[in-house]
Amino acid sequence: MRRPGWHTAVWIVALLVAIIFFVPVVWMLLTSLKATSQVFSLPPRLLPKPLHWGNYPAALESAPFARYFLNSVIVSVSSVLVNVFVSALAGYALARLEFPGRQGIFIAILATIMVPPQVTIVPLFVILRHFPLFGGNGWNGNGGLGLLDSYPGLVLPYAAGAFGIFLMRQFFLTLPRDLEDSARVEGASEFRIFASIMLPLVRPAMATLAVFVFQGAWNDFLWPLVIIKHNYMYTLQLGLTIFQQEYTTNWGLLMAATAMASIPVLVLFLLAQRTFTEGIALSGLKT
Amino acid sequence: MSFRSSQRAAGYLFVLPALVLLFFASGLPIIGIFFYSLTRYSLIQPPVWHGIKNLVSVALDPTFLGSLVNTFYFAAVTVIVGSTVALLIALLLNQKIAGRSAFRTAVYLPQAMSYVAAALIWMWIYDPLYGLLNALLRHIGIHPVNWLTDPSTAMPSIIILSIWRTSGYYMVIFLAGLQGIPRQMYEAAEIDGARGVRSFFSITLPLLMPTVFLVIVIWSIGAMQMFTQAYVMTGGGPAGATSTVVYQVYLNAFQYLKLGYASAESVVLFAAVLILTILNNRIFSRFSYTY
Repeated sequence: MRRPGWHTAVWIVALLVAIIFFVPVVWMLLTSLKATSQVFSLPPRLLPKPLHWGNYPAALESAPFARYFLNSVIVSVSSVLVNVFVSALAGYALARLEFPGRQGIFIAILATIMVPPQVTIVPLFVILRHFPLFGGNGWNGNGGLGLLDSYPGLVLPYAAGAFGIFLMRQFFLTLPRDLEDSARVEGASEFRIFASIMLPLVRPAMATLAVFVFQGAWNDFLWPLVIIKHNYMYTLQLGLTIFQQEYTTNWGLLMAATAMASIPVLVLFLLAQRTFTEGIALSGLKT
Repeated sequence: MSFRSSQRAAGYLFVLPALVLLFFASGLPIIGIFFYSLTRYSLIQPPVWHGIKNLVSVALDPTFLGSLVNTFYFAAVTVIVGSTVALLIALLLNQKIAGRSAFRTAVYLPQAMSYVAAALIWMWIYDPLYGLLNALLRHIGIHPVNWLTDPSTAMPSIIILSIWRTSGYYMVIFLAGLQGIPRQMYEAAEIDGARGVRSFFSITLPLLMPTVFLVIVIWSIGAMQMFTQAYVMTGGGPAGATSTVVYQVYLNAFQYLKLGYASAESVVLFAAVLILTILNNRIFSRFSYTY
């Protein structure tokens, strides 16, 4: 039906597009493997020759990236665990349990989508600072720094979200009714029904949500910038910007640090690509 | 005890953790921006009632108004150009060609990276002397550009990086939308003699309108909150050319400790996002087709 050569033309254009999108990532990796003399050469050399691995140990020595990495892992993993559990629990209740006010609660949860975190950063900061009984604060929320500069403070904005609850609810809605009814007849508690019968059936949704929450927590910048003071609490993104301010144009070193901060999410992304794209498609089609 | 009452108790208990977290992360803070916008608050002293004076000063503050214009400029160009790019790529990579999934991966790989990482990579690409982009320009005989330090190119440079970083995400949404269009539609159109560009405008685009609307809304809301790129690449400069509303909120709240004033700025941003969503909704609901 199509004119001859159409396929080849489409293929070439697709290849060009893919290359354009891929070049910056490759350029980061290539630069990270170049010695300073090769980074600053005119015209730019494309390939590092010889391969120079020194930027990686040098970056690790110039800033405590291992510590930043650990902080990012702690924050992202806790965010995933809390968010997935809390969202599954709420999504299950909203889909399968009957209680007065259910619809109203669901609408209230959805309404929080209209409140992006950047908009509420000031009061969120104040709430954390005056959180009672934490970080040297008394019962009235004064005296110390509250949850500032702490892991719980970092996790809070990612710990629950309307998107996750909505996603889980949609999944629970698709499961057949008689599953929990027969368990109820046998006298299983509601939590047991949830944890041992229903939860295993929504693993795909949990995986999707986990990947999203991980990426969001790992990549966020403004929130750690605002609430973290001490170097040992820096996340990777925060550490990376401070590093850049110090080594402004040492691009070999900077690209090595950037690569180290990006490779975990890139690998995760490649491994979970299906989960990821299905999740994106789902979020696009079902809202 | 009946099933009903145990279900009721379990229902409330199960939604409770989510509600508590959302209350602290969203509910209380949204009330907070309205409350603090009416006060003078330096964090060191408790907030003092200030009435609508903050909102009035914000409305008359040239730095803020400039940032508001920058924010709209950034959001409008990023979303319009970006969603066009994402849609074209989705159409391209929806064709049955060899290596299609590898091409898709390349396009949406960038969106897995953080804006900090993306900003650093592009700062290096935009480097006036040793950067890749100027090397390319020099190669084809065009004068090098001071991408990030020239007020007229700084924002476009950030826009390019943002489109690069985010298009892949929306391409996936478009691909899902394209796959949702029933094949029979195209077959019917082909019998009527419509194919290629005509079938795109008479079938694909109208049926894709809900997806287009969705992408524009989500992307606009995100773009209105641009901060990281400006913070890392330009510090809001040169001469305020890349300063955004969130950047001003950050500066006023956490550098100058004017939390009341920053809250008033947040209220304006919140209103802008809200109006934008409603407006988009109005415009696009007219063009939406259901099938």
